[in-house]
Amino acid sequence: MSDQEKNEQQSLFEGLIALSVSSFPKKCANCNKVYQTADEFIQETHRIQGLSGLKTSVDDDGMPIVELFRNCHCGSTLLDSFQERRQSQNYRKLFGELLQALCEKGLDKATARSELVKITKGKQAKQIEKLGLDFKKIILK
Amino acid sequence: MVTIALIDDEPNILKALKRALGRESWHILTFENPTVALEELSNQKVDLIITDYIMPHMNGVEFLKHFIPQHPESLRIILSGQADLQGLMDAINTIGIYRFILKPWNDDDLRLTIKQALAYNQLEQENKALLATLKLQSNELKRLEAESPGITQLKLNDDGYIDMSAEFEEE
Repeated sequence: MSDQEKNEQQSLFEGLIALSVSSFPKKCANCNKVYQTADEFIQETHRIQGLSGLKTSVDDDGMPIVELFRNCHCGSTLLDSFQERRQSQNYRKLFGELLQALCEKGLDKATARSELVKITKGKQAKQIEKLGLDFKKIILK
Repeated sequence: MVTIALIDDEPNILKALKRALGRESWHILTFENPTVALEELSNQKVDLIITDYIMPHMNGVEFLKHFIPQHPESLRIILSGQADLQGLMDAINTIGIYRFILKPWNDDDLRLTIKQALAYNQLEQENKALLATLKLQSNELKRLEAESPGITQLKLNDDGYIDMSAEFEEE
């Protein structure tokens, strides 16, 4: 593998790792209820004191985030963080770049999209691994 | 350095609290499990404890009931998103806490509350130390008075000597 290919692969892996940073599925430590997606989390939890439960903050990298506090049906308070719109746009851009890179490696667009979504949910993406792109090895390095 | 322990079963809330308090020079300890917190804090000095209310294994009030005998001088704050407050407030009144704060908190208000709590605690400790000194001195005076009656009534003159002129006054 040439240096250029190695660099391209490294950059692809870094993108995959960035996308896989997700807190879903999310589990309530008090009652063990699992929320599979952010939508499910918002729909199946309750407001606190009738308020929005939204709070702005900055993450560990100094990026603005929005924190959403919701009460689980058991009464325990859960929190999930969402990226600010501009950052979400960066994620969408990154997602698009990764999609294109996977298509160039031979995957059809639907499969590549489905595989990337699996990674964002922390699941195994066999089709990507078949391409020899085992990002777990890269993480361990 | 001031040590603050945070107890909450939701790891994202602990992370958010650490981010909010990270700017200050405080030593922050975090625990997702109140039982583990009790074990690990048993031999540590803790200036302030901030605990969630609804947690697995034991709730925040039960946690504090175990924690207080270990750390009677630590200040206590309950941070909760619990909507039904009456039962919680009754329980809190029985154990004594510095503040009850609702989630989501305001970062600036939380930092200010903690600073005020720490200043309040320092003042309390100083007052306790002064009171203890005063009690010791008072006991010593009582002992001296019992040993030599009138000794505590002696007055010093301007030169710092015992004024005994009254002893020599003609009757």
